[in-house]
Amino acid sequence: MKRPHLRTTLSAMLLASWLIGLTETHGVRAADPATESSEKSPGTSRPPELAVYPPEIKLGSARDVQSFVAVLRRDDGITEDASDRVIWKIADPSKVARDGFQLKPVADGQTELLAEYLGTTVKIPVTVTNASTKPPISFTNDVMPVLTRASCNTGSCHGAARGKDGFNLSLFGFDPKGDYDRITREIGFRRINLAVPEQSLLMEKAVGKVAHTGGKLFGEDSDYYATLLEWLRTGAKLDSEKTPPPTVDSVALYPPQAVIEGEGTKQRFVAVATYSDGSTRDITRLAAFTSNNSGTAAIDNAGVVTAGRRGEAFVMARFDTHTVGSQVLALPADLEYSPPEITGNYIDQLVGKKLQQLRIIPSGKCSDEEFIRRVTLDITGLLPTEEAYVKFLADPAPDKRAALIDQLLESKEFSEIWAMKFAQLLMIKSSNQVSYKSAFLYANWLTDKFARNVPVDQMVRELLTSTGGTFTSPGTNFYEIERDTLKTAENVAQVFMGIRTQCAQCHNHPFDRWTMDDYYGFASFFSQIGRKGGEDYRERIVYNRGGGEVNHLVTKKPVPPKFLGGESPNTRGKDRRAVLAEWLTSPENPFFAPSIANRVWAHYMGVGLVDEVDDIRVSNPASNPELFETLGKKLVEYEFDFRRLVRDICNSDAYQRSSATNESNAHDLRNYSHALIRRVPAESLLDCICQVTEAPDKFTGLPLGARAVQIADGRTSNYFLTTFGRAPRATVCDCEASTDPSLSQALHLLNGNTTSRKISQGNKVKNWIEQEKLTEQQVIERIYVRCLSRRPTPSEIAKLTTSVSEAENKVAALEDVFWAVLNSREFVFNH
Amino acid sequence: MISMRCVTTLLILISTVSAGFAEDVPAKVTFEEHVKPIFRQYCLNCHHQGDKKGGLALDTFGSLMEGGGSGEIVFDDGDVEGSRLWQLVNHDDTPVMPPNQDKLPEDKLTLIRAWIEGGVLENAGSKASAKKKNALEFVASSSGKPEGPAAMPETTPLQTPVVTSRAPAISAIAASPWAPLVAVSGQNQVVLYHSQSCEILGILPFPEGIAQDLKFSRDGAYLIVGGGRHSAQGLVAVFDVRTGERVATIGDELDVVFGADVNDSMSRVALGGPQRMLRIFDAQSGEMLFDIKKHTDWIYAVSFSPDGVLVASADRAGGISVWETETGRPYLDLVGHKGAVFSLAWRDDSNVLASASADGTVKLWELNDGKAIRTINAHGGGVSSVAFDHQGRLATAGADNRAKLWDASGKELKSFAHGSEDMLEVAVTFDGKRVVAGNWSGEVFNCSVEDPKDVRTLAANPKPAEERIKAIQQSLTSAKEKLVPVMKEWEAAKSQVAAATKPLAELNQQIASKEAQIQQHEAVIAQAVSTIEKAKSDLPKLTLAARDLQDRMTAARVAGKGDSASLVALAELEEQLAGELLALAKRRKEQVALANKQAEAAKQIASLRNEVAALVENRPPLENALKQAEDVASKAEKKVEFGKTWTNQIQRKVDRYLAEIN
Repeated sequence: MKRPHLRTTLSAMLLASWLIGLTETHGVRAADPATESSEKSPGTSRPPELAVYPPEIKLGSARDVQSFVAVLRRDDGITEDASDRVIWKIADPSKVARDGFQLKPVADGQTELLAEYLGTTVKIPVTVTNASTKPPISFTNDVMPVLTRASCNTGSCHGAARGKDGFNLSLFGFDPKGDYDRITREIGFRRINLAVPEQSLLMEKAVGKVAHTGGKLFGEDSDYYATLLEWLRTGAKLDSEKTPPPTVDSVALYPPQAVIEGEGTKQRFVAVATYSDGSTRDITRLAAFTSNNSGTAAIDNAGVVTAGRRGEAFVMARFDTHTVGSQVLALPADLEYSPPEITGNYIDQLVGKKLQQLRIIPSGKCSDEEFIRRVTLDITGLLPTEEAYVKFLADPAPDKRAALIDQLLESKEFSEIWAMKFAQLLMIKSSNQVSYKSAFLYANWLTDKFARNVPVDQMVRELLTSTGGTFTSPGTNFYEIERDTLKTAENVAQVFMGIRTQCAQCHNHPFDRWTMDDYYGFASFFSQIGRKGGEDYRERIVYNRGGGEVNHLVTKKPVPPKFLGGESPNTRGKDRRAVLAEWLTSPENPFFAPSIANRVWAHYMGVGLVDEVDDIRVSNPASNPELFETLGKKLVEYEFDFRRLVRDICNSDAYQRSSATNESNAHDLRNYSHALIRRVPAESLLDCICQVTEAPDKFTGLPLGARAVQIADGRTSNYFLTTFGRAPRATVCDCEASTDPSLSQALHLLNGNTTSRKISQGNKVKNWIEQEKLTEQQVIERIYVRCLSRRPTPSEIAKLTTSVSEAENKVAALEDVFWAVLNSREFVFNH
Repeated sequence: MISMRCVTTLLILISTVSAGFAEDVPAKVTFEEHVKPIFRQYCLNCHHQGDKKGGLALDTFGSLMEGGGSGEIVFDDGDVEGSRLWQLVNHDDTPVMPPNQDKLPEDKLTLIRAWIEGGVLENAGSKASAKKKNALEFVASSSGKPEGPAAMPETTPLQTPVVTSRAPAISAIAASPWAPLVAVSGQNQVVLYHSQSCEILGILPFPEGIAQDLKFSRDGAYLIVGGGRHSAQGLVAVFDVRTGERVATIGDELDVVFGADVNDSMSRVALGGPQRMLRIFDAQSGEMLFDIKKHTDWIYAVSFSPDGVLVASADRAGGISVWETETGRPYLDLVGHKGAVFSLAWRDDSNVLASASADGTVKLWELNDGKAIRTINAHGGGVSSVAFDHQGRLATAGADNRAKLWDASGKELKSFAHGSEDMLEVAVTFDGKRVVAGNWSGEVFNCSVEDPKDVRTLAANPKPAEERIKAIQQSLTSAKEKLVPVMKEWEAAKSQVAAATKPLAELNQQIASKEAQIQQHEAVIAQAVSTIEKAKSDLPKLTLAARDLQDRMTAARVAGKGDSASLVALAELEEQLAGELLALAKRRKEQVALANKQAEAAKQIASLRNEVAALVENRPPLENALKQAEDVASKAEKKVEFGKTWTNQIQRKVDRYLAEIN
């Protein structure tokens, strides 16, 4: 290593300057919107905006109760729990009785619940049926929810694979019949005692009468205890198979959104389940409540949310196989905020709306220098050339950014970036099963699709329904790289819908709506894939066998094909994959377009609306659901040509924001109030180093000068790519491509042969000095422009020229400067 | 019943089949020559050294004898039915072999059968091993039988400590080894029933909870109750069967006791439960002698061998361990069950231990090497209880809602399907005539082994004594009421007898009077006859005397001097003669009269005799009538006596209840 001392000093210096640069911008920009504070509107003249939930109350038996909540929305968007401020009335008290914020049935009939507040009245229709009948306790619908609510069947308790202390329940109750057997029959003489139900071990453990590792779960005076006791008293029966109890169709959590002001302020939530027979049930005391951000909005077992520090949270209610959530925003009391004007395209409208809700002031626009580097890196995976930089900066046109975007989108590098991204997701990689030729053809097929701008839906259809040899019809490699039926189904769900279904293989998804039935129904689409050898021993032929089923893990019976969250199509005589592909890529499909759009969005914005992009689930909601939906719709509208979507994104203010933050948006990472600083992905980083040093790499099977992005076979790699987190393509997870920093990355850049060797290999500095006769300062400027798309600051110039002039060997000194720039964080990051 | 029939049909079928092919079977069937080719064709694809599906390879004799993952598949004792290989290829059990294919052709099966029966020979040079004396050979033992009458409850309490509307799942049943007595676990109580009459003989209060294990002592005089409250308390209580007195309380566990037993001499008590420790106590002092940590899961069953030498314990992970009673040292581990072992039972001779497991099998173990000598696929879904009777037969209960009875070699004899829930517990009565089984719903069925229709239920939740005494009092009243007509009947019968006696007596009197007359007449005749006879002997004398006198008179006349003296003498002689002749004449007349009288009397007798004969003919019907009446009367009397005894018995019962209640 030559002159490490100088290099280290230089890089540290560069880094510092870069960071200082960022802070400076921040100081200037942040002030702007804040000074634009407009007048506050107290808005007392309008009638209060009062809402009462649930919007309709049905009481279907003597047992039934329904709690309700009143929510007042102030003019400034803050919501308040007004349950104890409104005057409650019942139109016909002979039908229902009110007990606090709960209604109980009295007699059959219809009436209304009236909420009066400052002259406004909200009427909620109430229907009472079977007011005098007490239906028998159902194991599935009454007992199981109690067990789940008491968290008997969580993974850390009896829901663990082997149970706890000898007692095993299905995780979150996915197998009620099995649980019934285990409670009543497995050890017929221990867990329950029908002679004296109160002395059942089940009961004594739950109320802590005897030693219980899980502690006391509820009291003897609780309704949970009463439910279990009644069930035992009536003989601990299982629901009849002939007349099964109604199943839960949907669950709702009210209010759908709450904007709470002030730490410690509370908002009560009400959860209601709707059953297949149309009846409803108050499940506020049965659902399991969780918050994805308890620091901001903690929710207790009674469904009461307490606001914490400023931020956004999603509170969820899980009941049966359903999970639903409501957004809760917590804002500090007496926050001085005046909403800035929202400009820009539809994306900016929606981003701006969300930022207003959060009382966040976005950062300003980035500089042209920042923009050209950011957009070129994002779209092409390369750095802007010196000529492009000069031309763009000199361009006086007001729409020069849009023009640049258009120009970049036409480049072949754009399609190569996306081909590579999909190659990662499709795990294109040679292996013992898949020959290099297959992998190569497969990658070429994919790149060709993107190069010809084939709409994504069409490409996916072609891929999923592909039939034939892995050489002649490379799409079939999709079924060769992963041959397991269940995994294939999981991969399709994860790659093309962003849904992780893996949990549901063994138990119902604990945090999403997917049940085991859904899982096996979906897997069933891939159960009839046949495979046989081709003429060439390396080739395999994939075809539709027309037979074969997938068995459910619990019932051990075949499950007919069923779309995820959809109906069971008739697949008789058809290739099941074709039926699935048709459904998947149809514009009506609720998962496909938004999930693809979200992947695109995440690539350009640094973080997906749903993060991670392949983990879309109820309990991981989009940070901006409206935008999430709109992007999906736009993609459909653009007929799945996502070049057009990219154009919208890159042209938005949200994309073009500065990465410098202000006081209000410093902690925001999910709402696009400022640009996120991202490390350049491994392949692009190597390409950029090659580009600026003009020292090309040689990869197996590719000509000299081919870029890392173009590597077809996932197995082809080198130390640099591996160290910098190139996707190993072992799974379909988007998280495989990592941009996490590591010590070996830093050490490799400093001491490894990539930077030094390429600088000397390209020998550019010498050429510039000796052939182009550039001055030292010109060389330094050129290095800066090529690598960082900016000119050096005067202080940088001053310091560097001093260092270089002190050196004996000017070329070596300048190469050291080059090396230092390549080692700077500013180079490695896209900002 | 149906399955029984099927098995029988199958057996008949097999025997006919083997008979049918008998001529084709070579005299010496060997592995190399006959059986291996069959295996090669049907089995070796999976069961060869390379693949060894299920751990079984059939391509060499050695590996074949070694068996597979579930143990040995053939035994050289010639027992076909006990061979796992045979059970599977003959489709007696699952998984049937070869899988997903038709059964082997009959001739092949016959060969395999003949090979097993012939002693599982390897090749032409092999000799059948001398038939080993299988441990299954049962030596009856009557050790422990008490001298004198076996204990039955006498003054055992009858009060119901806790009354529940339904019984808890039946967790324990035991039958006295020497008396018609059955103990059934209930809520806070153990109910003692007479196995024949199904009458409650006593209720032992167990306030600590529910009994999980019940065992009678070897002599049947004590009942050992292990149990308690789940996750709270476990103990063993010992009750005197006769008095119902609790004589000992042993152990203080933190969870319930699932298995408990006492040894033959009542000196050791062993217990185990969810705490996984096998604990052996001194029965007298209650001091813990051994605290054995070996089981990796809950102990479900603990059982002393009848000779008291060994104690076996079994757990929820399928492990069974056998220990030396005196030293507490491990003796054997019995490995083989694939599911929890719920129950253990020793055969009377202490040579065989039976274990019932959730894997659906009952295994019989011999205690020298700890080998499983039989695996009986007893109940689909799991076997929850097993018991031996004195004849070495086995009773089992299982999750197929049945109890079953098996012979000593594991052949199903009877199946008792009652109720619609898992059968949890089973016991056989001392005489082997009744099987008592209890299920999850708390129902207990007392079934006759011989008569499938004779099934009675025993309540594990007896009604309160007050209610039961009412029933008994009612039966007393009804007994008394029933006695009234019986008594009346008896009275009526008695008067009937009297009525029937009277005409017969009259008749007899008539006959008697006639007979008396006859006798009178006969006396007359006899007198006449004797008079005549006497006269007959007198007359010649008189005649002679008269002649003599005449002769003297004539002589006197002749010699008479005519003197007066002679004349006087002659006259006197003549007078004398005249007198004599007069007397003689009179006698002769009398003689005639007597003869007449005699004839007359004879005539009278004849007529009387006729009359008597006529009267005698009237007698039998009268006599019959009387006999009938008397029969009726004696029957009635017996009834009355029976009724009185019955009433008295009930009265005593009532008195016992009353004494207890008050």
